[in-house]
Amino acid sequence: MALVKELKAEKEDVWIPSVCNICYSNCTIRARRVDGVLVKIEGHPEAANAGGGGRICAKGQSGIMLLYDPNRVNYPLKRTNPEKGIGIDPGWQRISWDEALDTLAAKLKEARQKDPRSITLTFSAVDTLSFGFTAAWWMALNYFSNWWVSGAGPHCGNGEHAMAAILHGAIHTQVDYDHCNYLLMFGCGAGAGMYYNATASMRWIADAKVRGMKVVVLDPLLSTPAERADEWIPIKPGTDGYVALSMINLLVNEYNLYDAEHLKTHTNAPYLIKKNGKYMRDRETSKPLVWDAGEGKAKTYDDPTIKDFALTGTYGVDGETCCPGFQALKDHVKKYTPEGAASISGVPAGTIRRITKEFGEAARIGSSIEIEGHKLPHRPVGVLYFKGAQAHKHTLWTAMALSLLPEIVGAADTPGSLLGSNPRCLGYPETGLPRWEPIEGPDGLLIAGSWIGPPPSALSEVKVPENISLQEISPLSVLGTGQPFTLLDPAKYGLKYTPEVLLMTGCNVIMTHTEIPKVAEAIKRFPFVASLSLHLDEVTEFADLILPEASYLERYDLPQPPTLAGYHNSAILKEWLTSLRQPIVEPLYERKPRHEIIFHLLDKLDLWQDFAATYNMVAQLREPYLLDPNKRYTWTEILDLTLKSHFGEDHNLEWFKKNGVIKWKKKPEESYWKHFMKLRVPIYFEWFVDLRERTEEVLRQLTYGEELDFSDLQPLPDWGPCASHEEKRPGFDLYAFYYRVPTHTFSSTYNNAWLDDLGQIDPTVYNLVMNEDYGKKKGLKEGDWVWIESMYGGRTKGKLHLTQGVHPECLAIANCGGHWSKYLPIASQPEKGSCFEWLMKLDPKCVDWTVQNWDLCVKVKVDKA
Amino acid sequence: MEVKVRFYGQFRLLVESGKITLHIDPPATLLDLINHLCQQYGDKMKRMLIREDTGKPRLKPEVHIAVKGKSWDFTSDLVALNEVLGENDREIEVFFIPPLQGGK
Repeated sequence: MALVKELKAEKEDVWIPSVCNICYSNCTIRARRVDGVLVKIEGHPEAANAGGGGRICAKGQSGIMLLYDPNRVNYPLKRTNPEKGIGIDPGWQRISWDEALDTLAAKLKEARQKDPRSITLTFSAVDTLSFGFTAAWWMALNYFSNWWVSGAGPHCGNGEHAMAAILHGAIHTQVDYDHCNYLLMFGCGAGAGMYYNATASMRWIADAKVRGMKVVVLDPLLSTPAERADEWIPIKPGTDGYVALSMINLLVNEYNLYDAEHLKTHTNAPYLIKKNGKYMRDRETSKPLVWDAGEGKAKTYDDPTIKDFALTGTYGVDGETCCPGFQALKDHVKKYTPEGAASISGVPAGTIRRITKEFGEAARIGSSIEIEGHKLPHRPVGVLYFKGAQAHKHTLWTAMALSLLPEIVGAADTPGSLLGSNPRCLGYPETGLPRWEPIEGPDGLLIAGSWIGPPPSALSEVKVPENISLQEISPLSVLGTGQPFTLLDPAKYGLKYTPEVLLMTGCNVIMTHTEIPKVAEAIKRFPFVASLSLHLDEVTEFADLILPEASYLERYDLPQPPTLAGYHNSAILKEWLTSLRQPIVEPLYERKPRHEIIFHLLDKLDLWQDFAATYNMVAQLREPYLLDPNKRYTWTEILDLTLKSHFGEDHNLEWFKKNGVIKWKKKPEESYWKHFMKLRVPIYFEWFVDLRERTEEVLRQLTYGEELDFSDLQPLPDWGPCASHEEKRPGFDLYAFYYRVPTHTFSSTYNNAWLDDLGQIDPTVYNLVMNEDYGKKKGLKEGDWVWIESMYGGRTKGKLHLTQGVHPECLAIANCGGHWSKYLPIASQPEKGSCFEWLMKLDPKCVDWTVQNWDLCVKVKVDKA
Repeated sequence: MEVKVRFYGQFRLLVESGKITLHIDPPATLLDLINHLCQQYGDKMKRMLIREDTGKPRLKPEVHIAVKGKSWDFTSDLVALNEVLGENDREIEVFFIPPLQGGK
């Protein structure tokens, strides 16, 4: 008995705090390690309000299977087969780390000598390493020029991100679930293990529903969020914007349900607009004019003597007729009737009228609430939208319309409403860091204080593109997506250098961009391709060199600070949270953490100084914790300095290793910043007129300028059809669209054994989801294998699931299944889904160039296989 | 005062060496330094740094300047750049970096 007790005492059994990275939500976790083996992952109880809400989803728990997946790549490999192509075995041969690093460093050195921009770096939004680290090594290596984010454009939210920046000073939005009573969701996975704050928002929405919040989901599919909603309203893909415009029309022209006080105080609704669409400006100061209804004359918008801002009417100023922006909006949306919306979207006009009235009345315009001694407007309604709604030809218009819907009822950055996540951070109380906040830009309008690159604003520049993404011509986009165009025809796109090296980290662009054969061909154009990989997936078929990477359970990182983008997992209310990612086990086999690999390369290329200078700036390091550019640090030393710079000397790396999490109070001045800062946001996007003029000036200089359509850059949104709406050929009678499921993260988790088990329980994960009435009409039944042919000619195969839970005119295809790499034995089985990208076309017409978003709905015909 | 100026990112395409050393009489401000650089490298540098069509001149959104852990970007108009550089220093380093991600 005594011996058994002694042995038990010696047995290691520890819980280690860390941060998940199975998706981009960065939930705070704790992991149980017994005798050196990870046996359990769960939510960290200290992160009760944020960082996962103290819990973890099924994907997070399945991290164990990523760590111990026998199909992980564990040793450096080099290609022996010079032939590259889809399904062609590279003939991998194991090599030493020295050989791998020397080979890669030599290729990078050679490329940098020609032009640093000849190096392209890929990245995935899922791969949440410290942005300070990533930005700094990219800056050192290729001047932060050419990057290719996996899924950007097709799967990311360029439209929503732009509107979140312009209207909320943030990179995305959430809802104040503690106070919200009515939530509309358009094609968004919030509350169902997707969207941002994936796990925490499940709890936030569930708790809010118990409290009485009504959730209405408009989606072609009875998706996981729709299943949990109070009401699911099936809608045709690509028509969300029309419905939103008709709702705005009802609110401002029929129901008189808009927040005049909010519009006058916090938006440019009173700014006078001339017939040419631009502001009426003061002759002396050039400031926009408003009409003071109290005195019956025009004044500059910031004149302290204004008695009452006019929102409606027409006025004569300096011999010109003009009207307030709000009047322009009212007039503009009149043509968007509920009946018109019904004919386009399939949503009955009566339903549109009912939910509009419910939404407008639930906004409780005029009411207020006291929060921590501050009396603030209470507008308990929200509108969330993401990929489902915006992945269409007219992304910008859709995003504008859906974003204006809450804005006109005053439901923006006030209790109960849609909140930016997170526009204002006044920092940890002891240090005031990290810190950012929106600032006043031209004409009194907000500019986001923190963004990835320059935030979209009236100051945004338009340039002749020199990068392969073409992003310089689309400053509203956060991520450029033009890479395959330029790589396949560099002369046409005027590249001043030849792409030489593609260095891939954490992504599978072959399966997440667009037309697969063309993307494959684009990648082949790089003479040398290296990949830091967890698995040998489809994109690594094109690599010359593989460097086996440690997973998030085998490395240190600081995924949240200092970036706004990295603050995904902080709650929108109550508290800020930062937690340390640390290894639960040492890297297995010969896997190495990315930081170690990159630092070896920086040493070999003598780029350490460049890294340090950039890191100091991006990570907001302050004296005495600044990196000395002349000194070489380890990653843990850098983390120690970063943590001390932000949280004080006592909160060093050792403190975080033990405690895992630091939290501090989030103030109303941060969550509801709008009432504590004198900034306005546009409901009339006047600066888009100027942006379009400047863009067209640049387009005229380009040989390919006529192929890029920027005509959607206008001050108020309209609705326009996608190519799929205009496809009328016989047989092409179904809209195929892409959707996300909570079981998988894009293409990255399909070889995870636990998630695969889970995916097999839910018939919407791996099957093509078709309306059963349509199936019966075509003689198709549950489990049938079918070929899908796209209007563009692409084909893929899949197995049918028939249900009433999808719009009768639609075929839904989940995530990025249909893997084919033989090194992914679970994912590459035939019944593991289909990849939507086979149906796409690499065509400039399929992109909304204003935000570089791809149209992800295509008409298809379906035939029994 | 010796001012070491380091250029990162796309600034390197203009100032190929990536770093230069200037001698400026103290007390010099950040604005003095910018004017000095515009004189030395001409219109191209000015176009990279300054935007003058917004009512009041300001740094361009593509510019971030860092000195001893403090930083300035397009949110500062040029008047705000009248901060004196290293009042008690004989030598100081100034970094010009594109704004990968902001926050002040």
